[in-house]
Amino acid sequence: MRGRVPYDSETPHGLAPRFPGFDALHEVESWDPVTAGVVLERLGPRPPLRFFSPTEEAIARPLLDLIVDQHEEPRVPVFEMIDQRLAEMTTDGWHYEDLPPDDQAWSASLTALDEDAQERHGCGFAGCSRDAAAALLQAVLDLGSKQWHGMAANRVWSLWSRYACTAFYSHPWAWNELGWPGPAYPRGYKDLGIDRREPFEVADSRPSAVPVAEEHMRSGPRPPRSDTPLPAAPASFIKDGSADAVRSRNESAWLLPAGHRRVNEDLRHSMRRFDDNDVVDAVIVGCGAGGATMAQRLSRAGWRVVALDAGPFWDPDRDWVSDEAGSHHLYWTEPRVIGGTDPVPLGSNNSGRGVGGSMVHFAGYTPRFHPSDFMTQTVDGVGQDWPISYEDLRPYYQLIEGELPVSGEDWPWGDPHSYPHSPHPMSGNGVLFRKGCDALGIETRVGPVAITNGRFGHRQHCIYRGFCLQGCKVGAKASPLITHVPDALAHGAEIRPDSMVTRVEFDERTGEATGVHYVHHGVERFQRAAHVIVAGYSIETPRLLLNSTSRRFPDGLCNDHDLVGRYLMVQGAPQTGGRFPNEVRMYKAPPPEISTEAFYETDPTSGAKRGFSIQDVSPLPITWSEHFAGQQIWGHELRELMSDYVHWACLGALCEFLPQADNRVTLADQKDRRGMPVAKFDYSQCDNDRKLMDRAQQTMEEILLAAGAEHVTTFRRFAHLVGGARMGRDETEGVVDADCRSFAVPNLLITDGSVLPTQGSANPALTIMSVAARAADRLITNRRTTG
Amino acid sequence: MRRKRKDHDVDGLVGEIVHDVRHGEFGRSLSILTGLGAVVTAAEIYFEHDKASFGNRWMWAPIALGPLGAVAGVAGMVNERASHTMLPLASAAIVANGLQGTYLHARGIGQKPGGWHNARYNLEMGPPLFAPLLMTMVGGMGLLASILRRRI
Repeated sequence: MRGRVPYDSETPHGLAPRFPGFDALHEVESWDPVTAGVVLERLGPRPPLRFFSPTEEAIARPLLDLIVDQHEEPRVPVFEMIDQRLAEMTTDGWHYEDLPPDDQAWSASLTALDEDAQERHGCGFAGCSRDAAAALLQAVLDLGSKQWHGMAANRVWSLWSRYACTAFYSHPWAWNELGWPGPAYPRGYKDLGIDRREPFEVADSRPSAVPVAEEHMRSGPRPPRSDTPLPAAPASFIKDGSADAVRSRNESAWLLPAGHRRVNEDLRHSMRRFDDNDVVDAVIVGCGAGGATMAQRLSRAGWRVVALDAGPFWDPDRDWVSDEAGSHHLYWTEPRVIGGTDPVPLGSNNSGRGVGGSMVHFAGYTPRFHPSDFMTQTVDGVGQDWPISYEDLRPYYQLIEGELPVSGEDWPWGDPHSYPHSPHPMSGNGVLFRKGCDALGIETRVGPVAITNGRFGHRQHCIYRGFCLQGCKVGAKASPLITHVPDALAHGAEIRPDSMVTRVEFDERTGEATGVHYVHHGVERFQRAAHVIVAGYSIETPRLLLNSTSRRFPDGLCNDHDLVGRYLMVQGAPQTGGRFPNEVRMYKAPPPEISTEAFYETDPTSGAKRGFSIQDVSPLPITWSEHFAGQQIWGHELRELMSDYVHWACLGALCEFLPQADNRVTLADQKDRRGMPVAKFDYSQCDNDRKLMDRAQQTMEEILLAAGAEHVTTFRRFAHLVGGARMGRDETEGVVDADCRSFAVPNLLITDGSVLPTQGSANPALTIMSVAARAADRLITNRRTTG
Repeated sequence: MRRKRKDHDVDGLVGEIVHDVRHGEFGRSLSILTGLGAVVTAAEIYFEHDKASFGNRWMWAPIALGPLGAVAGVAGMVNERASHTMLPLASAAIVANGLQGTYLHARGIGQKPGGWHNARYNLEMGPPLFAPLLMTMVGGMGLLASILRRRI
């Protein structure tokens, strides 16, 4: 123990400590300075209240004390932290259609709660006894999805609990209660596995299960299942680890500095810069998986390329932190509206911002699609056949897997293949997943994850710190920021960050796009280009096209057949937790480790088409608390369950949801700060979607129970986005053709996730990059042959 | 423990070996032991380096030296001339590669996040610092075998 902590360290009032002597702050010297700054600020003096009025404060304080069950000092300053967040509007941007943006929703809901108190008890909420206040809160929860003062009650609860849990579990005092050490960089973890602890971790002194209410959990064993035998995967014994072949086509990993900096400053400094009036060969909108791959390929072929991104050009050392609450700036935080019967909350697992896109904070899973994904209509009579087949994409899968690089065991599902890097070691979470699957006869494989396992250029080896979803400060997990952007810069591409594209300019006379209007540091500018390549992902790409109206395209660019924004898909991504008597400590090791695609294809006995995959996921405390809060658990029960964190393992499923025309992006009446209409995203599930979600939940619960879980609980959620400007065989079927070129405007391409007609049960990043790499190849060849 | 015996207490091959060792003439035994050590070491290194995806082409060197050491060890046992040419050459290469590996592993530890300041973690999770020196020992055995006295 290092001792001498200059900060007050406590466990919050309300729960007897389970980890005697454990103090997350003891490790403060092993945190990087940026993260330490962000975390320690939470312990310092709070700024004066700026958002809540004194009346609102009187209601909010007792409400928050109830939700996180802290009624005496020492207390995590949850109220003050929420006030700061709302005053600075560091929200995730989106809001439900029937609820105003977060700040107004807080004010409205607090007033409504006070009205309830007046009506029932004749006094304000602040004047109620603790029991009376708790009864009022529970009454709101009991309404479920019914209306409460003109708002859906469950969405109001979602708002309150999200803010309360984020604030409470972002505080080191709360970490002490969980036995969780907090930030883990540059020091990672070395003792992975069941009941294994680092020298600074403390054993749970009350390891017996926390009693839980029946309605939240399920327990009891399940009958074993049998599984069909797998085809043999090609075994690889000889690996060319030097990756010379990769280096000759993409030198990014060798262009990063070899030392302890993560940015090649010379390369960024000497970057070529184009003038707005230069007619560049291609302007790319969005610098994520699709856009950055395109920029790298085109610049290597000698094209003059400018890639614009609405967000910053990240410096992982300075801009990213090893901390959950401090990482919301990695998401798209501009306003958006969500609606439909099953609205999809946005942010962490379906949006990105800045150079690198959402791959900056994606978990790291990079499975290929199965051959059947390209012809679901033919095979299963649902969805849509792609205009390309798996064989068209296979060479690009191989190229991108080499460039990321992907690590994993030889892969037996879909088209059997192997990976360039060896599988990573497993943590306690992965071991339990495999144990449960083995007991049920379900095949599992470690990987596939885009995390280096060994030397690859100047990239770092993974240190198993568990913060993949907060941006990999280590540089082990792939994102275009380190896998494609450096090579693009070295070949003369310009990356222009902080540039929000608002409109694509169209020339009525030539029928071609001439460039893009964008806002850079508050100034409107226009970049001329011979090709416009849109890669803003499934919400911003349709929004940009719909906002680019002209005489020729009154309903939005390329929208002759009302296809822009339609057939947008998410994946059903329920997560199942299992409580084990031993310590699992799932936060150690990367959240993505091991998966099974045994349920990927249609099971004819199930009554549902298509399938799902299961992967292990390891939510950090704030996300984990939202699982429980999402099941309406609050107060003492929430704190008790959360203090059990080290005993839980967690699996996640990805269920293939089918493309539907009405799941779409449209322009809302609401405008953003630039006067551009914000995107409205409607989502409703179909019957098949729900059936798959049920099957996935049941299977995951069976796996964890078979692994020895005492009880299990499932939280339903969504992940990923694809579609919205899909490819098709002709213009009545899709917005773009098989080469990602739009049918309506010959020099406009779309090369992001929005062109995917279906999404399989695979995480989309690898497929998005591969489709972009193929489109680049076709574009380059095409131009060469046509001169 | 075994009490002291005279040479002729043990018969056959084992007896010969025991005799040779007692009389400092075990060049042949040490030679074959070097060959065996080279193979076992190379096999273990294959698994360790495969675990790390052969991220550097030099990671193949100690594996290639395995069969070479084995051939040299056998040759050194059956042929005196080989024990003064092939065996010391192969052994010297193994020694040198082991030293080079130690340098590369140390460099790798230094390049992990936190570098040597984070030694407590990086020594356990980084490339094993002393493992290449074990390989150097095998090479050392070969060098020793090549200068030892031998019968035949």
